[in-house]
Amino acid sequence: MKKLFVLLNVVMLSACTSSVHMSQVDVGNNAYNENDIGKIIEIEKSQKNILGFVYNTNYVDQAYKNLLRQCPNGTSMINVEYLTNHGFLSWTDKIRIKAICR
Amino acid sequence: MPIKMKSILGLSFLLVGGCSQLHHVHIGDIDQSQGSLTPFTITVNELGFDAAKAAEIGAGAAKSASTSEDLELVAFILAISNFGPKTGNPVYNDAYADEVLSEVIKACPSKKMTGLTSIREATNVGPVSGEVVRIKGFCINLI
Repeated sequence: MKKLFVLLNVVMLSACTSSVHMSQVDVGNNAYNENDIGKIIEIEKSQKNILGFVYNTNYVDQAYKNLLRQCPNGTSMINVEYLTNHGFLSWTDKIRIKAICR
Repeated sequence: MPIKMKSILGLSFLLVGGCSQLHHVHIGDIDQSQGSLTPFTITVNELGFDAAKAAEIGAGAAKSASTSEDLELVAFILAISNFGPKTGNPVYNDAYADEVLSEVIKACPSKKMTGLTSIREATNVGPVSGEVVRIKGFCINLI
């Protein structure tokens, strides 16, 4: 019974931990920033790693291309977050971009 | 008596050992030409907990050999179940820093800002920590 309780706790504690490596906010040239803040666009791309074997190595490039497509005139503010979701002998790297288009 | 002394010493080490750690910093452009500047700070944080490290500490402190072995096994299972690169201790919520952009926008009524500094840091107390994202900057008060 005690071992079952410990095992249950281990299973619960091992459920989807994460690590945020970086979250940075940057603002463009204020001369171009109009006062009305428009819609925030969100882009998320990821890369699956299984025991160090990696799929989709160009996920950051994909996110960047997606950003350029959604904001053809550039951005007035941008937030880039880089994080990892941990798993059983594997993990998923993610890049999350939030931006306000000009 | 010696056990009590050990407990006090252990607790003191934990409390005194709490320290801040900088992981990443980014400083943006500073523009002082458009008006006076008012500083602002946005901080979001989440509880970080390294369960594998906690189990290892427990294994080291366990009185019986069988308990120690069980805890070592638990630490191993936790370590392989939470595999991957880590900055600070793992957290159980990967969205805690999602709202920083909207918080930064809310901080400046003029909606014009400069000198944004993004900091990723942590305050560690053994296997427990506060994982922090802090954004500092200046609102431009238009002339």
